[in-house]
Amino acid sequence: MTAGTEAAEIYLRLLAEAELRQAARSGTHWRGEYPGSLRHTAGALAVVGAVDGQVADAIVDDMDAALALRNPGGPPGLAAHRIRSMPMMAAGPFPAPAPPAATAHGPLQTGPAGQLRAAPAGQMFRLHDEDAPANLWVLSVVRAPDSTWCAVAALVQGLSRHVRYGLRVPRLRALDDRGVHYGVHFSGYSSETAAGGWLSLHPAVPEDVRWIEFYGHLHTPRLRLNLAAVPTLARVSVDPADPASPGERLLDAIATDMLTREDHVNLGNSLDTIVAALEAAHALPPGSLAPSRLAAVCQRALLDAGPGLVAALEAGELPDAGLPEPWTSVLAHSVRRHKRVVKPGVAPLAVVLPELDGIRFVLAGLQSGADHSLLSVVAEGLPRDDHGHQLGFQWSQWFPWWIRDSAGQWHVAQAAGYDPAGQELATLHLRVVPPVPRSVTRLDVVITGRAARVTATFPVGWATS
Amino acid sequence: MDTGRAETDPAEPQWWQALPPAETTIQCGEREHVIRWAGGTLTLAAHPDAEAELVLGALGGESAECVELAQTWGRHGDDLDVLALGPRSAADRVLFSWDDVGWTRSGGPPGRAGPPGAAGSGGQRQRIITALTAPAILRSSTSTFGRAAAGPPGQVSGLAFFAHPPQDPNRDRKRASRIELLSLFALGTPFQLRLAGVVAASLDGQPLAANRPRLAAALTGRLAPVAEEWLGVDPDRVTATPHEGPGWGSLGLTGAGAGRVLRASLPVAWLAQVWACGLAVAAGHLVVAVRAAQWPDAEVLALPEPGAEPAVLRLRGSLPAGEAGDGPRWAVAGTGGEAGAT
Repeated sequence: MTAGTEAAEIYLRLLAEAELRQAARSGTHWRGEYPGSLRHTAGALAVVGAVDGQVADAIVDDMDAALALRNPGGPPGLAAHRIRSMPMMAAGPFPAPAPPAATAHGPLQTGPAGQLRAAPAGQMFRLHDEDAPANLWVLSVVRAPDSTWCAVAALVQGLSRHVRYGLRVPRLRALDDRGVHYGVHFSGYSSETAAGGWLSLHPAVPEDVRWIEFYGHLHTPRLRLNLAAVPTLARVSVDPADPASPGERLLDAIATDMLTREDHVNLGNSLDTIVAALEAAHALPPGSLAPSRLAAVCQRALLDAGPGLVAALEAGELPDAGLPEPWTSVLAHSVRRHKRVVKPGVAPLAVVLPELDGIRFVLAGLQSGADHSLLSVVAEGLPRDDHGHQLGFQWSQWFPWWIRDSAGQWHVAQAAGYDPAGQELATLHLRVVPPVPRSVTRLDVVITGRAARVTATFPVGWATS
Repeated sequence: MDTGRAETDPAEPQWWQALPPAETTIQCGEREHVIRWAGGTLTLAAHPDAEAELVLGALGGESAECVELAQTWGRHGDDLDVLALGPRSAADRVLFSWDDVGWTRSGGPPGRAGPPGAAGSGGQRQRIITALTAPAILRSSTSTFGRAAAGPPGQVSGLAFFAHPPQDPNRDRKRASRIELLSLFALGTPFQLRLAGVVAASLDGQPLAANRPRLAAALTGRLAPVAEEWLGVDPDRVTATPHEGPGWGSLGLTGAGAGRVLRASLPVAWLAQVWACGLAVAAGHLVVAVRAAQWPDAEVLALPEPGAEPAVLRLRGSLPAGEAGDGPRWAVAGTGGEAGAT
């Protein structure tokens, strides 16, 4: 046990003692209310590697049990909000950083794509179900040796139409240029006005296949996809990035997460405790400005969170820290009373990015709606899970991504979860706020890893039906 | 049957010598039997040859509840969960009944209101029992989680993905250990306090490094209410760390008014010798060590105020009628002046 690990565990256990005392004294836990911040703080210390995930779990579980043992009959305080567990950080808070690849600039996509292949599609099925006239767009095809994924998005035709039980993605099969048939499985979401996700083909489509056709929907002609289509032309660079501690990255991620949400996560006083815990665990470097940035976001976004941080900022106890330009751009949009209306739209993408911290991302499509956009992404090399869930907000060390559009507006893209399902590839949808309007013709996507930053600039071609 | 007494130097005062005996009854087969704790030992008057009964039980015969309970007491004599879950003071009521014990063993209460005397409905007790016996750490040694994927524009949530971690092979053992501990808590507050003393005493002289965070929490959680009673200091501004080495430790108060901060370093043995015996605050002093004791008399080192040298106090204990669960009350029987470091 290192000094920092011990300090973090002691902090967490003393916090549990204090909150047990307060809960027992106030009796709030008897009513199923538990206002404490132990869960969030345990999650924060675990995700930055300051405490072992199972130790953090055990502390919260002990708190849960201790409250239950002091409860004359009501539900235990924490059980309703239990953290299920904390993934362990095996070798430290982050994977060993990969050395930045040589900086590369050029008109075309650069850097080895590994074994991933991406082809843009931008082709559409018209779904003629009686209650769901909609367009199902195939945005791209991403291939690896053992799997094939098509990013798809569907939009109801006409804003006045709503589908009570969600859009139904039809049962499909596929056929390739050699006459081989494939099973097709849809996974994703479906709502009254839209659907989206992934079509996976089984078995995987071999590398030398040049096209595939989808078929099987009664009222729709076969849809042929050219797997040899030229990927989205992108200019990609990899540059060294200033290293930031896990604690600073976590606080910055929390701040940007708060920038993007209309229904802000109820972190309440937990932010104050999280910052204190990270400091006690030596997970923030001396003089770090990350707490100041978080306080400034709480203050400027008029959030009811982090009152201690805001008070410290206003009292001059925290140094003033200017917010980065992307943050102010998103913040200005989020506090704007009259936001511009973004019409639904989809854009095919096929950009294989260079490896970053051992992860390779493929941009596979963009779908825009009224209040946010979704960026379809395939990732190779992601660990089994990110660690945000136990905090009550999403966080993973490779996110957020920052995106600048051709009008100069910045957007932030957060991973809402991913599902590698034990496979090499994971499919993700990143929530992009504010939404990307159809007037945008170019995007700069900036992804910062532990020691390197990837920037990809590419055109956006919105699909038209 | 003797359970709980450690082999120690007879010249050294035993941690339990300042404690009066305690008794309770449990259902043992068709009868109610007395469980008695006295002189650091759990005794079973109804089972004079418990060892033989254990042998018979191991050979396939039925073991008496009393005998099994005494064995359980011995097995948890160094279980730090006792300090994590158990009472922080005599007034901190840990509520677990024999009905609850039965329910934890059978998997939960019946789907109706609990029996007379057991507060809460069956559903409520079920949730409590689940929290007590099936926390995440017992369910799996790895992550168990699920989350919603990003929804489409205009919709927050979509499909949920779930990962299924492997079963923890130690899960059943951990669950059984937790249920055992809860059955000891069902003996009531006097036994809970004594069990905490047994656990703290088991750590005396042991290397503390691996358990320092847990022991810091155990000390802080128990010193905080004591400090509030002694000085009126905010219990949330009290911290205590395990003291290793000679002497009783240290204690310092900084700040003023509501912002006062109390930091202490106390030996883990303080939990057994002082706190578990109800001696923590006596006559306006904070007791930091016991020099000699034989219930109801104790000679202690006690601080009149932070920063002062400890004074020797001779105390006499009494048990308020009908308030045995609150532990002994101690009053000054004499003073011996200031003491040097011990």
